[in-house]
Amino acid sequence: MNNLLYFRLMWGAGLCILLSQCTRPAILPQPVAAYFPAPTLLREGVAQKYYFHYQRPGHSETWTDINYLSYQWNDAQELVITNYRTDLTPNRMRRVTFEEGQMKTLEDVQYNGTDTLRKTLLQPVMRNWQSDTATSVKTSTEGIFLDRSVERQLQRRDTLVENRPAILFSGVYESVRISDSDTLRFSSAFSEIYAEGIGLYGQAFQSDRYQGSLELIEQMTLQEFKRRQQHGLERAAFIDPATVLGYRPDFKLCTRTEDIIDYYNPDPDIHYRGGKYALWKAIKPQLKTELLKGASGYLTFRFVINCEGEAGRFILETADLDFQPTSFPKATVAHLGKITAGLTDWPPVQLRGEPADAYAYLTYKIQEGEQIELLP
Amino acid sequence: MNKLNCFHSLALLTLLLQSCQPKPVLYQKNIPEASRKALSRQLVSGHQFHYQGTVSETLLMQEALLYDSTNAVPYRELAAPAVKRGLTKDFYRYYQGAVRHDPIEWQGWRGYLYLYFYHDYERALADFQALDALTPNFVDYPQSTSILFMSGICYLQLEDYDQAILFFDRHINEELKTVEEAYIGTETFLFKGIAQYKQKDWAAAKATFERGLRNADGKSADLWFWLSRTEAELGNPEAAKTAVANAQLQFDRGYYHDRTYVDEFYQTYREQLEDWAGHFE
Repeated sequence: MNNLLYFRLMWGAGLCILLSQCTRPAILPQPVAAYFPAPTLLREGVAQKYYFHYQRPGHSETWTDINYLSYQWNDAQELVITNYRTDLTPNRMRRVTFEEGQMKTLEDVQYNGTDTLRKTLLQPVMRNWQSDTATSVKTSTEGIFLDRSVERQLQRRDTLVENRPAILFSGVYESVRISDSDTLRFSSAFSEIYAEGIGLYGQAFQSDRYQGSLELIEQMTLQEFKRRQQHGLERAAFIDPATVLGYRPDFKLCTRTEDIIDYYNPDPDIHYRGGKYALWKAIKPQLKTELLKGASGYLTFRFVINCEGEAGRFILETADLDFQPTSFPKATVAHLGKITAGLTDWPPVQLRGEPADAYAYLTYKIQEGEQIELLP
Repeated sequence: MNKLNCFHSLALLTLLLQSCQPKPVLYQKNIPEASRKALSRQLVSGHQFHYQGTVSETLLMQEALLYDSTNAVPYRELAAPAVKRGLTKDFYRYYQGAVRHDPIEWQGWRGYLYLYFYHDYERALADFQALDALTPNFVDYPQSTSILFMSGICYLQLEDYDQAILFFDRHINEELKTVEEAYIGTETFLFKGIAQYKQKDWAAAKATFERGLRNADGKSADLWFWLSRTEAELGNPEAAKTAVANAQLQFDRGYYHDRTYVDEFYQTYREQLEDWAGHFE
């Protein structure tokens, strides 16, 4: 009886393993399937990291940037292709299907911050695996601009890359941007390689303005890519509104946190009205030297000035005179913080005539509680 | 029965091994050792795609360091936004890396930052002197500014006025080898004159401010202001009054020195001129 049970359990377990682990049928049709990641990867999602190399005519210097792309098969039996910027945030998403070797775009959306730009697809075939030609035509409207782009595949041929079978597509790309006052045209020749088990392996562009190429660096699971997206980095000078000091709780931005500029972006730079002379005049009468006792180092208040000229979102940054981490006496911080938050003659922030908010900072350089300088 | 189980187990194992494809191998580019330094430099150049201090730029510089941890430029690029945004510790940490890996290129730049952003005159001087030792018989111009001139400012701020005057004179003489005196920045004469003023050598200070004004065709609010102060010390209130009026005129025309990101040493302000002019009404 025990043996029979063992026998049945073994087969049952084996069957389960077979069903869950073994190869499932291809999800992309032939001949396309061979030139994309394996079905298991497409189902789980796979991300690919590329270097984009850029050269300008007449310049030998190459600029290299990092781009990413992910493939994921969705429940609607479509391939979702997402492109990502260097900071791993998405900037484009396309949904595509494959019919008789043709790669057809169902949706093409670009992301710019929180703005979404959806393209109208007039002709959807991006690539054709079974013949030389394919044409994709898209239009979109962005503010005052009407954009139209045409991408023509003119040739398809078999090739080998790193001993992998691959398909080389080549063609031309043309775009025109029309506004009331101007029409801008751009064209380039392109070539693109899809390699066995990979998908997009590389691209090259050539125009009269620049030449560029995309070089595959590594593949990773989408899970690993998502882990890398959690890098925890913020732009330099970022102030987390959740962790600010208590001064000016009623402070409001005129724009959004992600739109805050730096104090030196406007022309002229943002300075306290009247410069350091006026700043000293405002600060000096309030200074109580007894509250600076035992203090030494760079005590910096970083903050935001809004389009009304109000300061808020104060945060503290400290270093000793050797630029090492340190802390200042609580009384010193409270005293100088109150003075700094009480400064009211900041000019309203504007950028190109539009209301803006700007990061700024004021450093008190203190030596042994006495010598004080204001920086920067 | 045991034999049967054994047979079935083996059959199942064989079936599993044969029918399952291996897990797909993820692609990984092999970057040859010989090309890693060049790739690091290219990634640094890629900062042109991004605004300084963004997450994208930071990640790009980190990538550049992965290929060549001795490349000084990514450290400098990471330090630059920290300097401009009051992130004192980050400036120091990153610039240490830049200077460690390429002192000839970056030690003078760090000295410039110590001077203008942190008013750390001892450290600035140490960097200028170290750079000078690395490049003998040559005057360095980090951030397009002579180390002789910047050393003069350091000594001026450290109240070592003799040394300050010595360095400003060395700077003037060095410049005169290639340009006429009128092309030397008015700040040199301003700061040299201020050093003489602080020494209470009023006559010498006056001569230096006037020399600077001659070179600048009178277009310097700063020089007029300090000439006014010197005339006052010399007991010439009328001359002082005229000089400060000239200072206000030149200020309104935009002829005063200032500096991007930071206030200049001895920068002149409108309110300051008004306060000073008030003494002569």
